[in-house]
Amino acid sequence: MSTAAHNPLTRVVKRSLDIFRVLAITGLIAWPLLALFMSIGHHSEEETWGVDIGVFSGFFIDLTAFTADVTDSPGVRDPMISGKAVLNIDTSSPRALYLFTAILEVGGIAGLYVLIQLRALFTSLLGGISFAPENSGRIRKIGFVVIAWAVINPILQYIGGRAILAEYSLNIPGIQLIPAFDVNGMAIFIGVAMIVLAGVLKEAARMHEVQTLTI
Amino acid sequence: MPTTIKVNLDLLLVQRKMSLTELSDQVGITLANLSILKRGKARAIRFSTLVAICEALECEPGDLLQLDRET
Repeated sequence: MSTAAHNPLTRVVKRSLDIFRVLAITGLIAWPLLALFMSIGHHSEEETWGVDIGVFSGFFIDLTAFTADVTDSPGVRDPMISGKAVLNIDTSSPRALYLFTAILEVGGIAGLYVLIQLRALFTSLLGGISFAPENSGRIRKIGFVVIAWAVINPILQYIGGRAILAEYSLNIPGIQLIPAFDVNGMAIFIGVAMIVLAGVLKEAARMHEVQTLTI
Repeated sequence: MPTTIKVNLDLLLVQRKMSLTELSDQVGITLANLSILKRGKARAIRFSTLVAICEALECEPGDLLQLDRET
């Protein structure tokens, strides 16, 4: 039996993954139902849902709207500040709520798939199987999901953000919100690294099989 | 079918009227590993294993291993 099977951390991670899996499944089922009930049961006299919708957005802040002469401040060359941030909007728009729910669900399904693969991997490790082609396949799948998510998530966030911000008006002079698009390069790098590592593990599994079947 | 190595362990055991368990005791190789060898599932065989089996069965390596040519 491999050392990974005797490592207490393997068991701790496996149990944590069990809990995360239950939480993820519960969330994936409960959240759309909650969103549906909220939209059905919403009364017009209530201003908002009471639930913050996180919208990844870009922002421009015109400092001249807040202070008379910014250029007098040492070091400030451009009165326009721009950046990207998650904007929590408490909105009453059902469309915004559904879009937010759909984006969360897509991310949740990808996350659940990764959790299932990780759980199977750790179950295999606990069973004393470290170098197996199945484990290599699982790491490879996780790598592909991480890359797919790193590419799809910004697109979804951009589309969702654009639709939500179109219905949202921020009445603060000098601040302008735009939908943001930001690809997570580090996630793509991690995904590629995982696919490469999966290839190494596949070769290790092949060598382990040869060693096991050498009498 | 690609050319493979055929292991004639079962034939030699029958000729010597010896069981796999007896051979396992004599050569010090586990029954599971001898079974893998007997069923032709082994990927490789160590020289030390070959020597031990040949000594126990009083045969030559050529009696134990046979080239199974592509048909």
